[in-house]
Amino acid sequence: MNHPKRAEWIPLLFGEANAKTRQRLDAHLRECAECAQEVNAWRRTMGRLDAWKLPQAPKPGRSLPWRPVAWAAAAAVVMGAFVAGRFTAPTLDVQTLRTVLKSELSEEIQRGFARVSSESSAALANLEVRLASASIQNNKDMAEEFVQAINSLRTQDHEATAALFAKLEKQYTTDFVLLRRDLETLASTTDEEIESARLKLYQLASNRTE
Amino acid sequence: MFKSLFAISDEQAMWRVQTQDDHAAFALLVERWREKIRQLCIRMTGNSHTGDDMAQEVFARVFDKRRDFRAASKFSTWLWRIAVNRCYDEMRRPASRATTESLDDESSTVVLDINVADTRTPRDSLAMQEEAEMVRQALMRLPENYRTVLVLRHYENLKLREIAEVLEVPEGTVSSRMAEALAQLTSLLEPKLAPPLRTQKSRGKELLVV
Repeated sequence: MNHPKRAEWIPLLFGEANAKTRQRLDAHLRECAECAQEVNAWRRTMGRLDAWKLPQAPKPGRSLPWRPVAWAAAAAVVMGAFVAGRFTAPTLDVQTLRTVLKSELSEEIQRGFARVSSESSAALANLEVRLASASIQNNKDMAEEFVQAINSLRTQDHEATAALFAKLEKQYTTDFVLLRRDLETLASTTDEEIESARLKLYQLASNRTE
Repeated sequence: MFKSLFAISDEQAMWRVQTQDDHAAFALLVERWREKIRQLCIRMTGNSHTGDDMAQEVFARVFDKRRDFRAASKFSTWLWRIAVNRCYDEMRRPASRATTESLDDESSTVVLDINVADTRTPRDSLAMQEEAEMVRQALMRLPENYRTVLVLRHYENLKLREIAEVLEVPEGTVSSRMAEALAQLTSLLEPKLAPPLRTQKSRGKELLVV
């Protein structure tokens, strides 16, 4: 009988043989007691390899057993910084955020005002020129009335714009602060915070042990 | 910054290590692979006390050689290769390790004992521990080439093709080494516990009774 080479059994034994090879080798095993005996013996050996178990290292992340003392020290330092950071950072953040936002927004409002008023002044000047040239037929009172009307319109416009900006600013700030707070809460409850602390821990400890 | 790290592949992390000396990315790689490398080192040397130290040394090498990593290749293949080479170094200088080991023992004994106690189930009998020890000793008696393919395939669960890449040999060579490994291991293990002609079932029963 034409026996397969020893190495040919290996993909079959480890479940990596393709269907065609598997069929061929299985067929041979059914017919050849000699090969079947050897392959079965190898299978038994493979089964026995599992008897050698290694003590599982503790689940990474909860407690890392490398150099316990260094880990403990590193953990103390990192956790201290971490906890301190957690309780002070959010309030500070909101404050600074508010200031930054405020100055940014008011700057924008200033710019808006400047633009609006310069535009309407130009329009007014234009109107006045035209009115002046047309005043041959129109009386001066009418022109003044017109100017007043426009002026009051402009003031109204200014007020409306200012109110709108103020409203926007308020909305924007509250939204931002709320969002920020939500994010903080979310972050504190997700594993990622823990993970990052763990990474820092690991770095610290490996620095120490080097 | 840490959040973005959790989704990245080994290769991306390694690229960061390579180009930016990114310590967080490196810590992430260590975190992902440390346990596997530790187990490989223990299986290859048969010494559970040196696993942690060796794994640490493997990652030190990875960091030292970070510029050698080629972006086109798979990180795991490169890492296994470094780890296997580290194991070969270890096996070639048993004397020096023996001395350092006795020094390390003092600090690590407690942790190791706890681990053993944690993983021991009521079913763990003396016979099973003896079987484990027998398997370990048999593996240590294999030539290192044979042991390597067996450990990588059976315990570390690499595909034959991946092992070929790690060792930079043809896949057929991996298979023939594996066949040789299984043949030798079988002849080392079979005469002691189970006569070759017994079926697996009866042998299993016998083991539980003993």
